Amino acid sequence: MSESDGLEIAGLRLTLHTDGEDDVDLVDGVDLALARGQRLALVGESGSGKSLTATALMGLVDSPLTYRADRMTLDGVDLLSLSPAKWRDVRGPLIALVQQDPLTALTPVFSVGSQIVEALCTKSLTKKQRWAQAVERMREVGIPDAESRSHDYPHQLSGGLRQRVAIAMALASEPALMIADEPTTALDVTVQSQIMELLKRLSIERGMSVVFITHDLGIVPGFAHDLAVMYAGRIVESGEADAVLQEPRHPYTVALIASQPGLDPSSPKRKLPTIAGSPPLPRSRPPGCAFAPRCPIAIDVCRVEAPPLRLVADRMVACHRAEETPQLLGRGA
Amino acid sequence: MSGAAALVAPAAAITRRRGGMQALRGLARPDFIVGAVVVAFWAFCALFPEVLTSADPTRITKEGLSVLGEPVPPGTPGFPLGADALGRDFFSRIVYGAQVAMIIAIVPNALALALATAVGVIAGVMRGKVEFILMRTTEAIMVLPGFLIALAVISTFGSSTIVLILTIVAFSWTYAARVVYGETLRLREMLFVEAARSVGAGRWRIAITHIVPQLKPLLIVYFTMNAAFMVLLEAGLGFLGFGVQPPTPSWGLMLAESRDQFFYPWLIITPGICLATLCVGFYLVGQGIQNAGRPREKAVVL
Amino acid sequence: MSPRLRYILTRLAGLVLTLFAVSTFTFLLTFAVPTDPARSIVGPKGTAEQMQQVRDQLGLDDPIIQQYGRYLVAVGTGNLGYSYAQRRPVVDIISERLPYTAALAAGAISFQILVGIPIGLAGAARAGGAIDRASLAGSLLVIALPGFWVGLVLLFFFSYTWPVFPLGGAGSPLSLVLPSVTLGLAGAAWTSRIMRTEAYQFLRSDVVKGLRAKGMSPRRILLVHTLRASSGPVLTMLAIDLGYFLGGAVLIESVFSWPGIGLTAFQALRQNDTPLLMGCVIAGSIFILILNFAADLIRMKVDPRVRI
Repeated sequence: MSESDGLEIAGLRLTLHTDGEDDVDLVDGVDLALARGQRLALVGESGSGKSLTATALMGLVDSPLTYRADRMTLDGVDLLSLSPAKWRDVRGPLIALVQQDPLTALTPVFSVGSQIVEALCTKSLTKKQRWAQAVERMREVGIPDAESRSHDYPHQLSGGLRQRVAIAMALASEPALMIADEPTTALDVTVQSQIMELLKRLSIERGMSVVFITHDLGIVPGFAHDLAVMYAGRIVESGEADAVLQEPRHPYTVALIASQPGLDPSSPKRKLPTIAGSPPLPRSRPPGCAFAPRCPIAIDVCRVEAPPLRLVADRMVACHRAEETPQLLGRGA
Repeated sequence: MSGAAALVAPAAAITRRRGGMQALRGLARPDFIVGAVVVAFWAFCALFPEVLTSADPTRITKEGLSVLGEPVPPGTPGFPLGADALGRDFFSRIVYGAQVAMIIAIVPNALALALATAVGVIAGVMRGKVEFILMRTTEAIMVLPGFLIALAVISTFGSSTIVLILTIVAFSWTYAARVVYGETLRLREMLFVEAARSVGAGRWRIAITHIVPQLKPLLIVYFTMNAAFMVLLEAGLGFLGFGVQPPTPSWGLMLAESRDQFFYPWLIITPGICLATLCVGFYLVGQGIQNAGRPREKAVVL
Repeated sequence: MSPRLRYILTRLAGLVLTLFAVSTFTFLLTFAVPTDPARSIVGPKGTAEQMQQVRDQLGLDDPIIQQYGRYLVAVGTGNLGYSYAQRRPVVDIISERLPYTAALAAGAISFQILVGIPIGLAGAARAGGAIDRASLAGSLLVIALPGFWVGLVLLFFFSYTWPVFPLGGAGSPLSLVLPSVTLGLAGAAWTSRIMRTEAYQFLRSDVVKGLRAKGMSPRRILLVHTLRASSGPVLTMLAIDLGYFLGGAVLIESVFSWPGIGLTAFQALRQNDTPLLMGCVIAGSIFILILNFAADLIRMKVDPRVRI
């Protein structure tokens, strides 16, 4: 795998401009790296900026939002230098998006088959051949009766099937990177695991990278290679998924793990702890660490100076006390 | 007119707006102000025509006609807008024409809306058979070619003002009734109605004290839209000779009189412009009320 | 029976019911008109005997219920009576004039589509832009204008001042232009507003985000997806308008002396030709009813989301 393969984001910042008020950074300094064919889980509460990061990655940031970054490349392509026309060429073949609610994301007036055909990049085939390809994609994502189903409209399919269609559509253009923005949030738990299995299989078969955005840490084990945790618009911890879950080094990650059932085997019968307080609104982020008001081990420097994202042991953490966190909070703290 | 329903349906959104001063401030938009000024101007003409002109609009004069019997053009001394084919001062006819327009804009309008509200609310509250009969009747009336029948009715019963007003009411209340009915149904489902009912308030009490006040914004908007519609309706009837009868000046009638007078364009152009400005004024006022408090829109990037 | 079929049959039944109500109404109206049918048929010089003969023939002295029954049967079988003035079956007269009204209706609808839809789409694509604001102001103005006045002004400029079009009547194909534009102008304004509203909402939905994520060109998003997804309400409105036009646009036909059903009805009114007038009313109602029904069917077909 050459160096230029894979995804690299450095210093991504999204700013909201409102008339009559100061600009506010909704996402402030996100760094991510993902090797080709690997799967990254981007985890955070709503409002943490994870969906916005995905939007920036697709170049779909519209006013009043703007974004800038030090570096943003995918498979050697410099995403920052793309004109709108070039972006259109890139979306699809290079990056594809699967949104949260397929009912509102698929055009309601065209059949699902025709929408998949639209996503296909091969223009040289006949209409029949392209339709056959679309049906093939549908089979690939596990839709039964793909042939007859291809003529159905989105509202005629169940939520799980619709999401499979959305995935088939994203696959049709054979992207190097698939961004899935909470694709399973609107689905039943059983369907959820099916979709995750599907994504994993496709990723392995095609060597396709996946950025999986979610608020649910529970989906990470067994699926994602890497894990990145976002809080208040910043990455607070990122590294290998298993390592981070085993030994979290950021107090927020610790709390997050503790509050998710099934992730913390050391406390199987305890009541689920919740994290007191709530994340600060973008405009009212305190100086220093944004998590400090809710952090059990915050010290003076935490309230004054924002901790930079730095390398500690085997991962990146944004905490002044990252070296000591495992001992202080331990597992099941 | 069916299109007007599409335009007014979003008016339901204003039932949720804040009241009082904040609402008034939301009205300070350019379109509303222009509309209000225009309507106020014509209302002034209707109420105080003597301020603008001292001529009698129905007086047939010899001075208004040239030696060849042609109406004098605008600018002739004593005839600021010239005269019509009978030598009457055109300017004063225009000014006095506003009276007919405003009467038509207000009286049948209020009556029609009262009827529409009654029917819509009764149908929406009582449901069942009453609802069925009322709404089917409404739809049956909507299906009739109203204008034609209005002509037939007027030709049968004469074109007195009363008949005119009643006919106009009879064929325009249905659109508002449908919308009121829909709104009543929607308001029924809202929580505060449930709350009132749980306290034991009777059906009709709820209707009168809760639902009807919520209909006010919708009705106000409909009033303005209807005003324009009715003015145009009377103008159309007048154009065919079935509106207000001569010598009372009505803009529609004046257009009928000038119909073959292509040689004297001011006779044709002016009444139409007056009608247009009045109607635009009403529409702008209605739109201003609807849009009060709505943020400005932004272009979408594709 | 599928729910769709049941819906259609219910609507058809409602249609028949409404037609029944309309016939009742026109029947009652004939009684309100003070002209004596016998006198109209026999003429001013007719004798009392002749009038009585006519009365017996037409059953004018029978109880009202009987006359009502006969009337309903007649309407149901397509017999709309006999015109006093023209001494011909009303149905014949109407079928003669119908093509003219149909041509005018077609012209007006075409104008609405060709002008209204692109303007609305363009306005939504660049909301707040020049086209959008201009079209908003323009539609407002157009809707407020009295249609017949617009017709007069158009005639003044384009038939009188610059003789491009004929001064009314239905002589040449060219004479269809001005009436169609006049009739369709207000409708074009409504069409563009509705199109703009629907398209505006669609363009801001997640669907379009997904389409952009597919790398689709703005032109395709607009012309293929937005157009298709937003046309439901527009087509419904067009169908309803068509019904109204076919009912006979009396004013416009009068201004342009266009020999359609509207003008026929108006002349019938002038001549106290009650059967012809009522025949036109019924015919007009039928068209409006049928096209309102068609409007619902169209909506069902075009927008697969609409469930019964």
